[in-house]
Amino acid sequence: MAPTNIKPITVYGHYLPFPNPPKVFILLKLLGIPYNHVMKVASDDPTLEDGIKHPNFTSINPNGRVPAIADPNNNNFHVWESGAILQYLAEIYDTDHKFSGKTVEERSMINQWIAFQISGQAPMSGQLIWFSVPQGHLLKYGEKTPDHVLLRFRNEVRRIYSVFNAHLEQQKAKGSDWIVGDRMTIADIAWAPWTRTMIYMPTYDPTFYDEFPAVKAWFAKMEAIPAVQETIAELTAPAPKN
Amino acid sequence: MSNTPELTLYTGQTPNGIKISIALSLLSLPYKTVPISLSTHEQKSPWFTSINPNGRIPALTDHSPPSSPKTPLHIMESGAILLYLSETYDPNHKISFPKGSTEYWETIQWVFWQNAGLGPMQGQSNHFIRYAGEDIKYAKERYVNETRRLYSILEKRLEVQEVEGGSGWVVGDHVSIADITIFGWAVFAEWAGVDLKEFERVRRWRERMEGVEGVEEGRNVPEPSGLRAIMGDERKMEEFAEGSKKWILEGMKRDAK
Repeated sequence: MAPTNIKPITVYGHYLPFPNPPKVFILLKLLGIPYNHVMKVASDDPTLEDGIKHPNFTSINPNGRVPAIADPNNNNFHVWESGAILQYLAEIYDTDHKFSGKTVEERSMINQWIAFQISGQAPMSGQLIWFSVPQGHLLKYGEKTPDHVLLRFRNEVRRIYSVFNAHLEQQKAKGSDWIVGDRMTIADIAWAPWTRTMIYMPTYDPTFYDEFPAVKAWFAKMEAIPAVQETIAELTAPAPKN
Repeated sequence: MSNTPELTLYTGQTPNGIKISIALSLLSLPYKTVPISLSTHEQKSPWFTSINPNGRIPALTDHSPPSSPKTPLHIMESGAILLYLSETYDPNHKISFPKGSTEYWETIQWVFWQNAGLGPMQGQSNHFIRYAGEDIKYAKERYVNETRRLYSILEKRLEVQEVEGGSGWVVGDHVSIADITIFGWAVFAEWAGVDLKEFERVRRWRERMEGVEGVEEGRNVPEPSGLRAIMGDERKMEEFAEGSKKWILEGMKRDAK
C-alpha cells in the first residue's frame, strides 16, 4: 500500500469518453493515492486558458494532450503520455509491485502489452471512431468516408482484438485471467478504457466483442473492479441543466 | 547482468526494425539477425507468431535473460525492446539515464510519444500517400498534417533542449533511446510526405544522429534501405511504392480474415 502523508497528485484530464485519463485514475485509486482532477478543455485554441494547447498546459505536456500529472511529492514533477504515467506511478508508489513487474522479465512483458496498447489499440480505435462519427470528417470535408478508409481501420481494430483475444485464451489455459502473470497489472489498466470506448461509437454494435469471447470475459472482470466503477462514475459528465 | 548476452533480433528494413539494430550497435552488443521476409508475409507464420503474437517486426529473443537465464524471453514492440535493452545491457547509461532520474522519465515519455503518436500517424500517411491505390484526399491531408504537427512538437522540444540545456539531443546531454526511436521514423519522413526543410532543428538533429558512431551500421540491418538514395525524389519514390503496393494490400486482405 502507498505510504501515508502523500500530497494529492494533480491529474490533468477530461470526462469520458476520453479514454486515456481513466487509466491514471484507476491506478491512483487502486494505490490509494489522493489526487486533484483538473479538467482541461479539448480545444486547439492556444489562447483558451483552460485549453490543452494553452502555453500554461503545453509547458506541462509539450504535446498538448491529456492526461498529464504533476507530483507535488517530487518537486511538482510533470509526466505525460498515459503509458509513462502508469510506469511512473507504479515505480514510485507501488513499492510492493502489486500492479507492476517484480523482475526485469516481468516488467518487459508488461511493457510490451502497454506498448501494443498505446501504439495499436489506441491509435487504430481512435481512427475508426473518428471516421465513424459523422461530424468527424463530414463537417470538414462534406462527403462521406470512403469504404476503403472505414474498412482499413475496422479490419485493423478487429485484427488487434483477435491478437489480444488469442493471448487472453493462452493466459486462461495457464490459469490466469490477466494479461501478464497471474494478477492484474498496469497492462490490464492500460487496455480497459479503450476497450470500453467502442461502446461510444455512433455505429456501436453490441455484438462487437462476441467474436472475442476471452476479451469479453476479461473486460467484464475489469469493469467489476470497484476502482474501475468509481472511475467511470467520476468521469461521467453531469447531464446538462435545462 | 549477463556478460555474454545471447540475443536474436527478428527484423526488417523498416522504421521500427532499425531502431533496435541501431540501439544494439550503439551498445556494441553481439546479436544474431533473423531477417523476416515481409513481402511473403513471413511475420504471420506460426513459427514467428509464437515469438511475437502480433505478427510484426521487430521482436527480440534474449536466450539468457538476467533473472531466469534458462527461460528464453521473447519481447515484441520496439518501445518495450528498447526499454529492456536499456535496463538490462546499458549499465553505463550510454543510451539511457539512471533509473529514477528526471532524464529517465523524460526518455520514457518521448519513447511512448513516438510509439503512440509519430509512428502510427506517419504510418497512416505512408499508407494513404504511397499504398492505398485510391486517391483519398482528406485521409492524406489528415495524416500528413498530424505527422507534421508531431514533428513541430519535436522541433519545439529540440529548441528547448538547445536553448536551455545546450544539448542537441531529445533528452539530457547525450544520445538515448528517445533519439533512436524517433530517428527510426525521421529517416523516412519524406516518404510520408513531410519535408524536413520545414523543421530546421529536426533536420539538423537527424544529420547529427547520422554522425553518431554505430548508427550507420545499425540502420543497414538486415540490409541497406533501398529508399535511402531516392528519398525526396518524388518520381522515384512513386516507382518504389508501386513495387511494394501489391504485397502490402495483399497483407491487409489477409489480416481482414
